Amino acid sequence: MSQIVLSLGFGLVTASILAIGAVGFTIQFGVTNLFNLAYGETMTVAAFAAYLARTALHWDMWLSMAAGGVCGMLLSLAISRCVFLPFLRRGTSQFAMVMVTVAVSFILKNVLQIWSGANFYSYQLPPESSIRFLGMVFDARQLTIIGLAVASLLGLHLLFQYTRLGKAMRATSDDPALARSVGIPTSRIVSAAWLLSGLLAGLAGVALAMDLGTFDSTTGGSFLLLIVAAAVFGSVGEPYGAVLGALVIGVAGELAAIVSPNLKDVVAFVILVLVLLFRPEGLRSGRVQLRAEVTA
Amino acid sequence: MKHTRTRWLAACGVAAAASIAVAGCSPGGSGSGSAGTTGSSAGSGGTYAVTAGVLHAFTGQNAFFGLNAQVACKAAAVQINAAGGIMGHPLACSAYDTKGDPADAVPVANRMLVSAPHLVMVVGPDGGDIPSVLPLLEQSKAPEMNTVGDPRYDTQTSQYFWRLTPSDSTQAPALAYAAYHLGYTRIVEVFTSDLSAQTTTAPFQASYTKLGGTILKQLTIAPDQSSYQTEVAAALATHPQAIVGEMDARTSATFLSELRQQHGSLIPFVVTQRALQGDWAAAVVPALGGATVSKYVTTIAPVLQSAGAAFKAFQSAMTAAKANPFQVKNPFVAAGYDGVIAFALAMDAAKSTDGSVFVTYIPKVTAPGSGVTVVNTYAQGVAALKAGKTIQYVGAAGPMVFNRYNTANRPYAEWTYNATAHSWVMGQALPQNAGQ
Repeated sequence: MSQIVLSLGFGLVTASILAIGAVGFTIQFGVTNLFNLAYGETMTVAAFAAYLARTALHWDMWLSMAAGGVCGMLLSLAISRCVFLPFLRRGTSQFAMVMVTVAVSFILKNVLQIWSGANFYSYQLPPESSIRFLGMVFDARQLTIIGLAVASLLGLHLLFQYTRLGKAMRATSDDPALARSVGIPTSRIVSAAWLLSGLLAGLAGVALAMDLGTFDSTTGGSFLLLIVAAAVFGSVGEPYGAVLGALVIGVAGELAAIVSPNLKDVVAFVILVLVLLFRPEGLRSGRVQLRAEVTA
Repeated sequence: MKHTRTRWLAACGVAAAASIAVAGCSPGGSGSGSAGTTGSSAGSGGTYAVTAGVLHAFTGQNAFFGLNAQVACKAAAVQINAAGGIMGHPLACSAYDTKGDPADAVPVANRMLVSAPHLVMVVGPDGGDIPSVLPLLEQSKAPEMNTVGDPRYDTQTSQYFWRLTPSDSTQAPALAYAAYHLGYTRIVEVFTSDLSAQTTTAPFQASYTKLGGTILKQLTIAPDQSSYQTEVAAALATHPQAIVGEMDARTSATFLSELRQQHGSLIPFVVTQRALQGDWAAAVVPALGGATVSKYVTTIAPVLQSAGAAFKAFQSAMTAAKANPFQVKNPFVAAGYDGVIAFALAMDAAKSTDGSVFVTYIPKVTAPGSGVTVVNTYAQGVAALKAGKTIQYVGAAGPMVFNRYNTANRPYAEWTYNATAHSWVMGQALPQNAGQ
């Protein structure tokens, strides 16, 4: 029993990172309808930006994380404006767009590999003492990551429910033509979605690199499969569903490791397949909040 | 509409999986290979260059294998060429990137065989690439050298297969012996699920329990996961004196960081030669700190010479080949360097660069015996052969005595990390056949 409680705690840390990443992925998909497989590389670039802030500028880790988030925002917007949007304006098919995102992913990955020399990097954070809570074990950094995830998700909830920008995003997502007809600047709203998605990708990338202890040019890309799984699990384009997917995949993986470490990913993806089998659009289908075609 | 959406999601899922699978297999671009005139062997006329094809992963997760093999070959070529080349032919090393994938290895090997100018030897491949590539090399009479640990090759019979370092079936007993004699009689065994680690588990368990040690828990973990917290908790719940096993660089960094977090400090970790590969310390030391790695980690790896003519020649050649500090202290790099020189001396002894001819001379220039002249450099070897002597080449990695299955068994030693010098330091050598 104590092992299960311990694993639940460990799963919460993974789920928190996964949730930040998956919500960013799903928000961007919801507003732009683009399945962006370069998302993992945005995470990696942000992790490197935070590394530079920490080692070259000697910034505090959390300030470095903020720098990673800003870097994610800028990169996300730049890629969307310079690469994706020109293709979308030409009416490129959805499948071709996925291949464009794969191409961008490869380009970023290889540029990073050339730049980083295929070496490993670490924020070199000092060890922190463990904190026991309800039978679970965390350290202060992990608790901060969980707190960051909760704050991010709460902030997004408030954004979508109570702000003009959030409401405009939802309107653009539901029906961009109608949104434009009532004076919503959908082009700017799409840009805001890219910025928001990039911010979350950046924060998730830095949090992942902190949690792993070391990272390289492939770190974000190798985590993308779990992010996509969490997003698909909760219905792509549905932020609350992505949070649910992150929780299920993060916690199920750790619980499965009690039986056998090799079952970690197996259990998570078996659950995903079963959900898709019985609810092809994910757990929260029919309650979609953000989804639209890009016409900006 | 619903069906369209479902198909779209399925297509995206497939594309995502394919993208990530491809990315995982090949994060980098393709390597280079030299084009040139055809021919897989060369006679002994003219002054053309002969080629050592370095057939390894140069991109992806195992890229360090290729980079190590390439620098070993280049260093050996520096020494060989300084002594006038192989029967007057300068040696060049050309890289061929298998990406560590057997499916990629075959076409790359074929390309090497048809394009490498006067190919006389092949450095690599390792691991999973050998079964698919070895038949091609045999057909072309191109002898290859490797440092593969897989015990399946312990009784192989191909005359073109030459293993320069011991099998995992001897590494595992050495690991067990070292762990036990370091005083760790109750341990948790942790190996990653990849082939190179898995070939060590069964012989390790047999040796360690035979010595009287108790394995409290056996963990096989998938490499490169985002967390090993549950596995670490399960290991710590058994209160082990040490963790013993093999994990790649990134997995080790994550696993050991989480171990330290949960336990408050690291516990001793006895690890296979994997830790001596260049990427391991580069990943783990920044995550844990050099002092922690120095205090808690012991690596069991083959012996490397630390003095004498062979060592000096190796160091000088490695400097000329622009090797990094980890490569200079790596016994597997030294073994590759020795292998290239031994093959070259075998060609000199056979007076032929034809693979089918000189392979029989490889044991003749490396075996000990009464009346043999021990040589430590290529120049010494050539001079002794010209004087009509029988030689034993003893290089930077020590004596390289091949058994009848073409495996060179060597003694092991305990290595520890020196945080000040940022390098591994060889400590006490283990007895020959330790733990067997």
